[in-house]
Amino acid sequence: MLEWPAVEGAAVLFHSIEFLQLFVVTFVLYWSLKSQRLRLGTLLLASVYFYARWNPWLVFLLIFTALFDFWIARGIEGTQSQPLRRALLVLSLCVSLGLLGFFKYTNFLLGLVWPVIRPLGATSDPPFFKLILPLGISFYTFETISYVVDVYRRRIPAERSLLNYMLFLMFFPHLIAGPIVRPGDFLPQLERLRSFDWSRVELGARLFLLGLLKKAVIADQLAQVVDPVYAAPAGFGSSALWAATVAYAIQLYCDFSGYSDMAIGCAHTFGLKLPMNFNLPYLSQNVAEFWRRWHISLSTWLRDYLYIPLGGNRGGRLATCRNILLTMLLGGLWHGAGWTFLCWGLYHGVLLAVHRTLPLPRWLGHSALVPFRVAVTFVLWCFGMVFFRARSIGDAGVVLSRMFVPTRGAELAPSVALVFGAIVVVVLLASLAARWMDLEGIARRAPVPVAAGALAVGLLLAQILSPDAGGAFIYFQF
Amino acid sequence: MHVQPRSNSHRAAKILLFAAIFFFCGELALGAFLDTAPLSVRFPEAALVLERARTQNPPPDIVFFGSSRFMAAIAPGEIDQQLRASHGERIPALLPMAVLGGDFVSTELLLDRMLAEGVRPRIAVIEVSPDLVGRPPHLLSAQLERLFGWRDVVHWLPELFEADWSALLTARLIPVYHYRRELLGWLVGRPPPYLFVPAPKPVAGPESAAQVVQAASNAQGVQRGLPAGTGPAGASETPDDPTHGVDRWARWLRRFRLSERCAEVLERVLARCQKEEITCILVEPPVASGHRALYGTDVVTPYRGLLERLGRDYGAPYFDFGDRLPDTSFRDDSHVNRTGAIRFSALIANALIEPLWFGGERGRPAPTDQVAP
Repeated sequence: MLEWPAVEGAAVLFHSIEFLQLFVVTFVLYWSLKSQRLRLGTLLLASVYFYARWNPWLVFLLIFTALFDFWIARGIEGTQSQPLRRALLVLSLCVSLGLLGFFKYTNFLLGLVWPVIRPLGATSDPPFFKLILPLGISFYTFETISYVVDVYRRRIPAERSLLNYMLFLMFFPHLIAGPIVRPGDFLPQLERLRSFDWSRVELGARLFLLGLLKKAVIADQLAQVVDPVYAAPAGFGSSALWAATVAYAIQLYCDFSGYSDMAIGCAHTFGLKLPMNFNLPYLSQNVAEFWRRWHISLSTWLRDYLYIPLGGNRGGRLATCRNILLTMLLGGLWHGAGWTFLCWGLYHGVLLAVHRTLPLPRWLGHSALVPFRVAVTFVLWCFGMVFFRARSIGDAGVVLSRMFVPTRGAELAPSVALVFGAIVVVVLLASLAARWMDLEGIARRAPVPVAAGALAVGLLLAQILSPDAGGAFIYFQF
Repeated sequence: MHVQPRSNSHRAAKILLFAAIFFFCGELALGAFLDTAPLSVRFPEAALVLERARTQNPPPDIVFFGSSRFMAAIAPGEIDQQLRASHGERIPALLPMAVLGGDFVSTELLLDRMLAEGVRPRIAVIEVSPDLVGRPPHLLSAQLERLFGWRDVVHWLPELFEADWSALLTARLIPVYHYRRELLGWLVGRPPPYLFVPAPKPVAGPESAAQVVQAASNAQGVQRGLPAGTGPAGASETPDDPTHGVDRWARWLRRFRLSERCAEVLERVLARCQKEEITCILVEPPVASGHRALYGTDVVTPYRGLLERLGRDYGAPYFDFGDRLPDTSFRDDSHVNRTGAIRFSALIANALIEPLWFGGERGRPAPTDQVAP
């Protein structure tokens, strides 16, 4: 077993004292400096430190990626020769996807091809590498690809400042798990010197707190139900598996959207805006709407840089279905190198293709059936979650078969079921409130002590309800 | 949640300022609340020990105060058996009151509370060792977690900063986070996790409730605040290694200084015992040879000097059992294993309790060197 790189620490989590220290120092330094270059330099240094705390060697990979595509984009812009422009684009894509493929898919591919080459005289076991997956590589690879492609398409000019470009890629709030930032949205924000604005800091604090509550209070708590059940699904009964699957759906949403909220909130405090990543996906009425509300920065990236270049919906129904399937399949593979993720992508591709091809009966569109449509969409998503969470296809099969065929086995204790049910109700009510009430307006109109009290109580609650050992964010592994 | 930043910067600044004030007021208020909470909230182990002292029938005649070393080494059943062999049923009632991370600070608290509840033993055996009187006291963080209020923090501030300043800051400034487990346990009636799902039953046989509780406790990491290596023998399944932990102690003992505050606490304990007419015996428990080798003259001279003075002033004899057990009796460098516990308990019974309790002259036990390990 080959191992590289060897040095690996713990990632700095947003909900840790270490991050708080890093943030406070960076925040104070950033706003006390009067020069935009120095401010951006401070952010870049903080970002390098943030990444290096996890693995100092892999910072160089990130820096290499940034430097390489910065110069490639300058080259693309600097030449009028279309073949050369295309060659540079292909080179950039090869390097970016090659690095992603090497770190993420080498062992998966080895496992795939080995049965084929074994009869040709290979040794019995494939020479698996013990590779450390660079944190955030899937995210920053997509960002750098979108930058080079946009420059190639002449949608944006190549960035003149290396500092700006590196910060676009490495800005620590979005570095590890997104949102996937578009260069056209982010780079212009770095151009002008911003004045300190308390309202953005307050907004950032609110978003960060919301994310903290989602992560520490809900996601990390639900992990205690999900992990043991999915570690040994064959030992649990049907109701426990249903509960764990629903719990995982909520955990994943709260974990990832919590991370996104914290990242967006953190960026706001530096006067920068990151794109929205979630918009109440579990209230979607069909799978297409769901994907417009779930991991929006990835969905739109896949749409703009994969689905549309593949032909989108321009080639008839069959070609559209093919493009959807391919896009979702690759979307699944983007999440992880494994059959479970491939199945998950394929499953959603099929759902989207069916949704696009087969129109629903008119009576099903009645407004009284909105809760039914929302419930069906959620349940369909939960089935996909089984593949997303299971350790293997075999485990996923066990979970699904036990979910559909009533099976006896270990069940959740009544007290656990009660707490779990309470969490589900809280999440549902919060989602409904966010959909139907103008929470932002309420916050704006609330008297200062009430708004401040809500922030303080939220923070105290987040502290007291945090589990003893909060886990890393789920999307760090992608 | 997609919102635009608002333009009212002044209002936002006021909200953040008030939120910070409310937040820290909440922290301090809940911290003060915790400081005055029943002992069972922050220090449930001590509450259990006191409960045993209060309810034991017959009431304890001899109590043992100390740390995990005493917890591991004192086997009351073995002592009872040794004494019964010579004296039948007329033997003193024993009560181990050692706690994990116990030192003179926790001993003083236990003694005070025990006496306040009307439990008055005739003999108190107190664990002593250079490791309990050095500076910074290595178990002080545990006492910060479990016992200290603001007044104690001020009193011990220099040592606390030396020991673990980050624990000091979190425990005092954000107690809601630091003591979230204790607070929840107090409010709900049982500690988290509330969503604990045990592994499904193995085919071999049902999992006992004790196993489930143990697994839950392991998952929670209940020994918060205690330094590495603090724990009774048999706490883990790793094989015995009498050299384990020596390196850590070597670093700590490298520049040994007596902690005056620790000495003061021990002195207060002895004074209180003298006042209450409780005979105090200072006992140094056995440690492995690697650990003993760390006690050079720079350690032993001030330490012995302190014990001699206290023994003189308060009539508390000192017994050094440090080298009485071979290395095979140790689980790690300073905690005995089961064999060691039986041997040490026999020593305690024969060399200490026998002459003290049954001897002609009370308070004059036989010298330890008369008893072979």
